[in-house]
Amino acid sequence: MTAASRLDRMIARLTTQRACLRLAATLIADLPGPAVELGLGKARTYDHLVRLLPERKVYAFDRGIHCPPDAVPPADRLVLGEFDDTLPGARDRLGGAPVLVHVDMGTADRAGDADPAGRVGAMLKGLVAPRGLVVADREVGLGAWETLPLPEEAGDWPYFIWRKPARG
Amino acid sequence: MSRLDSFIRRLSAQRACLDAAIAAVGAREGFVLEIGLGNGRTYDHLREAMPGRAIHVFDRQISAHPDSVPDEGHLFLGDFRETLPEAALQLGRGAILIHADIGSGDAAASRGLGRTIAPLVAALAAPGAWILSDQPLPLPEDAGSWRPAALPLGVEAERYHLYRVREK
Repeated sequence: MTAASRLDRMIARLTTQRACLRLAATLIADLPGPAVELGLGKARTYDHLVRLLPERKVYAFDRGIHCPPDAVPPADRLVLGEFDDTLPGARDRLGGAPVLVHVDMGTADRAGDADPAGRVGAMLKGLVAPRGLVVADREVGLGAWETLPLPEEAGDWPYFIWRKPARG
Repeated sequence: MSRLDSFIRRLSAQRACLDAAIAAVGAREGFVLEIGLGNGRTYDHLREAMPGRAIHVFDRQISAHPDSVPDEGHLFLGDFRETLPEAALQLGRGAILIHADIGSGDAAASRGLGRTIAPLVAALAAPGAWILSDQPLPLPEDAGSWRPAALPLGVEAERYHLYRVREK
């Protein structure tokens, strides 16, 4: 990470997110199914996903709502609660297996994020549709899945794209 | 444009203007003012890019990241209409770079605040100083100590405002 200031790092992070989501949207173009934003936060990337995937249902999961009131997802696209509680039964709620999950759950405490990220990864293994993607800001432990290279337009920021195998 | 796009655009414009002003100031003598600390990202950028410079910070209250809060000796907490004149008495007309990031959700109130603080900022600006702001900082014509300067390439008009104070 060579970006110097917090402003530089924020720009690098957001630019990377945007580039990875754009690539992900093209890669899932032929796969039917909903998309999920895991960690609504300020709703910036949720809003981006909704516009990027106008034909799909995009669901947001978070513990609580911290975004501007006019950015809150519609009630039927919002799943509130701990991921440990909301993810296991999510396929029914989503009406099918998601083909794209964007995990945006990192905090300033990268080491402390490892455990929750690993738990999320374990739950995503079963949830995501075959050939579906997980785009994440933390290593969530999908080791057996295919790791895709980040797009060229990504900034100088660690990000991950994994594709679930077609079988298994 | 999504919330993500528009946030990236805002931060990129901010950085482009900051970097242009920092480069233009070069090694010229003078202190720096950050009016509106907010999250502290641009303060951090100024601090990284201008090591050793005194940076005086103004805000109503501290809501920044703890790493990006200045020490008490460089902090003016309270209403800008009181703290800017107070600073002018203490510091004099010695600021060589002034960044004002004062906008809130209320566009009309934000522009009004720009008009209000413009003459107070002028009382702190050294000859040849660079002023940049998210709001227009108009001065009455007879007091016009600064003129609009060209924005860096890629920054849309009205997204940011750049001014240069006359040399003596």
